[in-house]
Amino acid sequence: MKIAITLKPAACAAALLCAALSAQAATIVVTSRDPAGVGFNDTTPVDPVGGNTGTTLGAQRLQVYQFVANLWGAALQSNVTITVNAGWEALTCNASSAVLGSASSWNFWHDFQGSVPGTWYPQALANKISGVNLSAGQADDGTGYGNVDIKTQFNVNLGNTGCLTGTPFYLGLDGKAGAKVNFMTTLLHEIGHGLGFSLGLTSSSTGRRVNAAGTAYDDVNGLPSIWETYMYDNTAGMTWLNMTTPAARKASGTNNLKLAWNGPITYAGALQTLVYPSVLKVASPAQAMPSQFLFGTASFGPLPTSPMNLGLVADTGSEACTAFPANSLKGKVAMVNRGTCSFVIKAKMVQDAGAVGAIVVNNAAGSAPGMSGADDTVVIPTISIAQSDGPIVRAMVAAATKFGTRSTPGSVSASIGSDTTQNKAGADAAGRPLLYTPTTFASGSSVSHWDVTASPNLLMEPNINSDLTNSLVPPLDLTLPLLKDIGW
Amino acid sequence: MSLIHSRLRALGGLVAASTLALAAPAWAEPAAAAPAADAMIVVRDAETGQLRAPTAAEAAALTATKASSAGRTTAKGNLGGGLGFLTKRHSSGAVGVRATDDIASYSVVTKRADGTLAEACVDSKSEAEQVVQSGLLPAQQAVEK
Repeated sequence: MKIAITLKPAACAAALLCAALSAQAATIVVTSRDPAGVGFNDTTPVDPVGGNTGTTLGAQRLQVYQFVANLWGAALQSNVTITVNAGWEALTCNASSAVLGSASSWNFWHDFQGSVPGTWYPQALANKISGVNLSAGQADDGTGYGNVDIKTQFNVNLGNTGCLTGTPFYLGLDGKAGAKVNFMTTLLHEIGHGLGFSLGLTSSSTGRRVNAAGTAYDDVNGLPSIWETYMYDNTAGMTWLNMTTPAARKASGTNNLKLAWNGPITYAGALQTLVYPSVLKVASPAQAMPSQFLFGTASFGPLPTSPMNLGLVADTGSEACTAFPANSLKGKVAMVNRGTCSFVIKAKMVQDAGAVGAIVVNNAAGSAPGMSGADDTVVIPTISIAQSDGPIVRAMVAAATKFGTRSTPGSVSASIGSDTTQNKAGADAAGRPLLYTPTTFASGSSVSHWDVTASPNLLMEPNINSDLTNSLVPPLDLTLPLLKDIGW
Repeated sequence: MSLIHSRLRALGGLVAASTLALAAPAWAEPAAAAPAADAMIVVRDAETGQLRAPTAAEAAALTATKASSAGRTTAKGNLGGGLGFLTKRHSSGAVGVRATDDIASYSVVTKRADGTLAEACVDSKSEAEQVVQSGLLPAQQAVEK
C-alpha cells in the first residue's frame, strides 16, 4: 500500500508543526501544540536509532508519531481525515516512576447519520460513519485543538534527573527498546484508546451514563456508549446495554473473568488468536499420565513456548544462591527454591553447572509468581511453580528413581504443553475475549482493556508488555477486530 | 458564555434579520438552515436604534459570521453538571461534546530495584499520579526474588 507523507503547514497555521500522513485507507493528521524549542521542535542533536532517521530529538519524536499514524492509517478506513493533537509537556514523575503520557477521544457525538440512535461515539468513528467532519465549522475553544479527534500528551522530561532518571523514551521503530521506555508501543496503545478502544463517556468506576445534552450524568435517561453493545456479562446473562442501572454495570466492572466482548468480528479473531493456557507437564514412569501445573515466567532468558520439551528434572533442594560443582546439573532441569537471592542469580548458578532449564518453587502461598530481572547471559528458560505444587513434583522425582537401574535411576521429564481442558487464556467458556475486571476496583481497573490473562499478550491489555509486536490483527492481536465491531 | 454570543457582541450589537436564530441559544435549537441567497439583511443602528440597510463593512462582517457559525455546527460553553464538557450541535441534529482530560487514559511506568521497567495504562490522571507516588502499578507485576 502506498503511503505518502506530506507536510501541510497551511492546514495548521496556529500550530508550530504539522505532519500529515495520507494512506489509501485513512488519513491521519498530527498537529503540535509545542512552543518553540520544545517537543517536536526540540533541536537537540541525536543519532539515528532503530530505523528512526531523525537527527534532532524533536524530529525523532515526530517520526514515531508518523510511524504510528501510518500503522493506524493503513488499518482503518475513513473518508474523513482523522486528527491527532500532540503536546510534549511536564508530567508528574520522580526518580523511579513517571506518568508517560495520555490520550483520549477529545470529542464525542450521538444521533448522527448512520449511528445507532441514542448512543455516544468517539468523534473519529462518528465522522467515519457519517462521512462528514461533525466538528467542521465549529469555532475553536481557544486551545487550538478543541475540535480534534484525539488529544495526546507525553512527558517531555522523561529520563532527566528526577524524572525516571536515566531512562528516556526509546525512539527507535524496531521495538528494541532494551532498558528504555518503548515510545512507539506506548503511543500505538494510547492512540488505540483515542480511536475508540474505550468505554468512552460511560464511567467504568460507577457505571453512570452521560445524558443526551452532554451536560451531566443521568441514571435514568443517560445514553450508552457504543462499547456497551458488546460488553457481555456471563453472570448477568446480558450486555451492559441491557443493564438498566449504574449499579448493575458497576458490579459487572468487578466481575472478575466474567465480562467478555461478544462482537462477532472479535469473536472470530479470538478463535484464531487466543491459545489454551500453557502448563508444565511432568511425566513419570510411576504414573500413566503426566501431571500438569500452572507456571510463571521470567523476564530474563528465553520464554518457554508450547509445546516444548525441557528435559529431565533434578531436584537441587537448595535456593541456588551459590555455585554448584561444574557439570553437576549437566542436561538437567534444575528445581530450586525461591528465596535469599534473586531469580536471575538462581538461573545463572544452575546454568553454570550445566542445567538446561530451571524450575523455581515458590516459598509463599499463592500462584506461581512472575519473575523479574535482567541478565543477557542467562540463556536457559526459567519458570516458577506454586509452593503447593513443589512437594508434588518432588515426590514424583523421588518415586521415579526405582524405575531405573542402579547406575541410572529413573527420572521424571518436564515439558511445556497446552491444557485443552480449560478455557483459552483470556477467554470465557464460549471463547469470547475477556475484558479487564479485577475483583476489587482499584487504580488501573478498567474495562477498556483486555484481561491480563490473555495469551498471547495483546496490545490493549493494561500492562504494556515488552513482547508486543506492531500487529493490530489476528493471529497476533485483537485491537482492530474490536474497532470494527463498533463500526470502524 | 456561548461562543456565538461572543461573536455577535463583537459586531457591535448588529442584528441581522436573516440570522436571528443565532441570537437565540443556538445549542438548544436545531441549527438554522442556510439563508436564501436573496434574504433581506437589515441592521439596528447602534446610535439611533433604527433598522437600516447595512454598510458594506457591516454586510461583510455579517457574511463572515454566518459562514463561520451557521455553517454546520454550533457550540455552548461549559454547562456545569460536574462534567465540564463543551456541548456542540451539528446541523444534522447530532449532538456532541468536547471532553476533558478527566476521561483520558494514562500510561505510567515504574522502575524496579533491579532496573527493569513495568508499564501500565490506567483510567485517569489521579490514578496515574497515585502510581507515581506509590511506585506500585495496579495490575499484578513480576517480583524480583
